[in-house]
Amino acid sequence: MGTLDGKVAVVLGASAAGGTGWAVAEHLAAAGAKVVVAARRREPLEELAAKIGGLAVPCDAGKKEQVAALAQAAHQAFGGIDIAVNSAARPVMGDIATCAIELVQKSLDVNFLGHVNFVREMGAIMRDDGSIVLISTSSASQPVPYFFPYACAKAATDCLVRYAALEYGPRGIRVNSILPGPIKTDLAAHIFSVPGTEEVFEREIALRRVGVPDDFGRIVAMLAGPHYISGVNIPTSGGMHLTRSPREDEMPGEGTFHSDRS
Amino acid sequence: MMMGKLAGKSALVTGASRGIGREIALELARAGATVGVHYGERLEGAEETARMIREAGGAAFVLGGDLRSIDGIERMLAALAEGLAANGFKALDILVNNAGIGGGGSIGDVTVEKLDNLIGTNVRGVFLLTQRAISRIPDGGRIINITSMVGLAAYPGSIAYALTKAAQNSFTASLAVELGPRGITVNGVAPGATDTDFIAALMAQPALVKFYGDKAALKRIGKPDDIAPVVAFLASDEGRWITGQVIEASGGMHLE
Repeated sequence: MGTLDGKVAVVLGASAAGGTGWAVAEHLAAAGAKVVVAARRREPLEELAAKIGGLAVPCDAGKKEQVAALAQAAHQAFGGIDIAVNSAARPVMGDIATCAIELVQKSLDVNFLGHVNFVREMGAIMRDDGSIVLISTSSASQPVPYFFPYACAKAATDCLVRYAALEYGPRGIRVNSILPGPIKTDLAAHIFSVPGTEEVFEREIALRRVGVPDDFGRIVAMLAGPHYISGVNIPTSGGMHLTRSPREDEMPGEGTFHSDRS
Repeated sequence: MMMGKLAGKSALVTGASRGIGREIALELARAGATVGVHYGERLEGAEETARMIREAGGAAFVLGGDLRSIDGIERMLAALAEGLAANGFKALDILVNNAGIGGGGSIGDVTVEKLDNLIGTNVRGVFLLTQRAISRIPDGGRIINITSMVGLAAYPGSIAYALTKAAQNSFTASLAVELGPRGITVNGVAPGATDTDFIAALMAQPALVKFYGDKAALKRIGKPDDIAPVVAFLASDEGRWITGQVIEASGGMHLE
């Protein structure tokens, strides 16, 4: 018995063990949902699908035909969609003055237009009273210099949430985004492996610890269930939105944010 | 004791004699918490809430107290300590500041008495109760303030009430930073128009019901059980990574 028994969920961007999308998929499945997991690489997906008894569908979040095919695959396998979570992201970094505009466009393709396609394709198939959750970033509202191509595209996605809530609201579909702050994912391990880095983040976080993927799985599972929240961008940073995001020059390591791996 | 995500937790819900407060008390109890059901004036309503909780297999105790006076707050805290002890608790895990009063009026309509009453209950009362309850809240505890969408936008027709709710939002943010190092989360939940006695006059007019329903993206007026699960989520371990926020549970008001 779970709160999401009988529901069908799609989680796009469930690409890596120890990542946010992965944790989201695990929590939705634990709450009883049938989960379709999607990302570009098939191998880790198959592992996740096997673990949670779901379906793996390779999908590039930046390609609209593939997102449409993902929605169709979920429909064919489980008869509909009730919950759609887009955790796919492309971490494009740079300064405004020097970042190649082609790179900015690449960020927009996945971090904004990818969400437009996602809402459109999932919304077309989604049953009434469903829930769409888009994963944004704290850097969309709290600038971290050098994050601008990524952060600004996600800020557009936060705006998309408000428009989508209005457009899909008459069908009872709730549309929200969450804005994670720093997260200790496997992909960010190289950042947190530098001694002292975690402490710099912790100083700015009310709850005095860095987030872990499990924190976000819980929040998305709540947003997937019955509630009356729609059109909202929810900071999920342990309270970092109340203070500030640390600057790179405060970090003990060199070029902490100048890595496109996180 | 009931099993659930709040099993073994104690909670106080102020203003739980009816409406949203009653539904929050029921929801927390359904999730396994032992709930202190507070009332300001309606003892019978609070007893009814407690009876509903017990009939569903939960645990509850009733306590009164006027939030507008220090004496009332102290009496309430004493009754809380007694109620907790009688149920085998020392600490208060979850404080839900739900009690409040409403009131319309443009700036010219708000008398000194009305203003003092609104601020005295919704701001001063919530502040002082929380201040004095903090020592009973353990590390990892929860404080949840039931604010309102009126505190997030312009409501000239309820100007005094709106400012008390904006004050609660500010209180929520500052307190979250102060208590964060203890792992205590502090959040607000902001309902929009919700079908309770609080807006009985509005609900009696079909044109207004449609007007306010249409203001929400989900195209209807909220119900208490649209709000209570959000409070239960924030109160549980599920909501552990959210603090210092006012979560809008309004069906998407103010999006356009």
